Amino acid sequence: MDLSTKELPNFDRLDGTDGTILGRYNKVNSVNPHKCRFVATYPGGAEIKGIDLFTTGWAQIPNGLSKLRYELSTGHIIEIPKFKAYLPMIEVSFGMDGSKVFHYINVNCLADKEVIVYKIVLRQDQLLPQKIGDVIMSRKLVSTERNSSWKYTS
Amino acid sequence: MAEPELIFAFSHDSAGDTPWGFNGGNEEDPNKNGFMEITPTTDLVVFTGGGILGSLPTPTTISGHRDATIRPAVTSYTIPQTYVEKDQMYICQHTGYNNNRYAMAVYIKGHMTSDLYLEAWDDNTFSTTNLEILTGTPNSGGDSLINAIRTTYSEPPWHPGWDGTDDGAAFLRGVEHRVGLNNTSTITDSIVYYNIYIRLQTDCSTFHVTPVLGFRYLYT
Repeated sequence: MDLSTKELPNFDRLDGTDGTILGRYNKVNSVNPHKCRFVATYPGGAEIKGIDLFTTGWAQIPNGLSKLRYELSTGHIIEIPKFKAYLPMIEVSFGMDGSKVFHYINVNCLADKEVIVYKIVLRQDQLLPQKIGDVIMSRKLVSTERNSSWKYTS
Repeated sequence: MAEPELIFAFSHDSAGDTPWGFNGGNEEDPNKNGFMEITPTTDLVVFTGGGILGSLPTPTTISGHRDATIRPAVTSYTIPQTYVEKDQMYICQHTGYNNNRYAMAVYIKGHMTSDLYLEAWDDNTFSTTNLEILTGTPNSGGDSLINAIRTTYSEPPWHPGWDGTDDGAAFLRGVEHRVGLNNTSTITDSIVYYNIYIRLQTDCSTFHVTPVLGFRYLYT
């Protein structure tokens, strides 16, 4: 089965702005992952826009960007400050019933001696205080493992 | 990059506990070497057996066939049979309270920037763990009743049986109690394996529940 078919069978409602998943004990509101993307700005003002949360398009953009922001389907725009490099990681759950929920975009930002993580919230419910568009900041050590998906700034 | 593709399978091979041998080729059939593919949107993993009928027929039985299992009176009890329900029900030959390694499998086609985590939730909101099978009971020590273990690189421990306390194992419940199936920070074009069973306690209620097994991962 190709899970990249972009189907969301567990969503009870989905429109251009957001969607709803009804559970036994909770109700989850989610961004529309088809309509969330990154926007990379390059010197001179040129922009390259990502596709969606399924096929991000991150691998295709060149190094040398000057700004990075995320546009969510809900209208939230999250501007990421300038760092030496960026590596976004999308956190998703896939269920054995074919369901799918996108939780966060973890934007790893390379600083001089550490990695700053901007965790962008993509779903909210009736239990957690986090709301769509919130950004949760954290820090971690620079990994010694090489990852070719880092995109360096100009 | 894009989201990696996951291909699920279970061993239906009565001959032995042997690897899947699937390489993820575009034209390659996942139904090979005794393994059968699990199609998440249509197939159902069913834990059953041990009740009035003793056990259900193997290697297959008719779709919809269930056997009321036991609420044990004296000691805990492992639900003895696991099936995958398709057009009919196919026995998972190697899952359970045993030391089999190649019971359930996932092929990761593409690249993950994390481990692949096996989790259990109430439903497909992936947000609550209130079902008794996940909360456990006083006799389970408050642990979930679902035992799962990573068997990607070795068979489960045998002393004489494994449970959620073993290395690479968990009593599945949400993100706090889950199993990293490869125990690495990235995975690319690989097979991971796990084993799983449900142990009922004497103080369980009599339930029929449908929790969701979920797989959480990161990608770029």
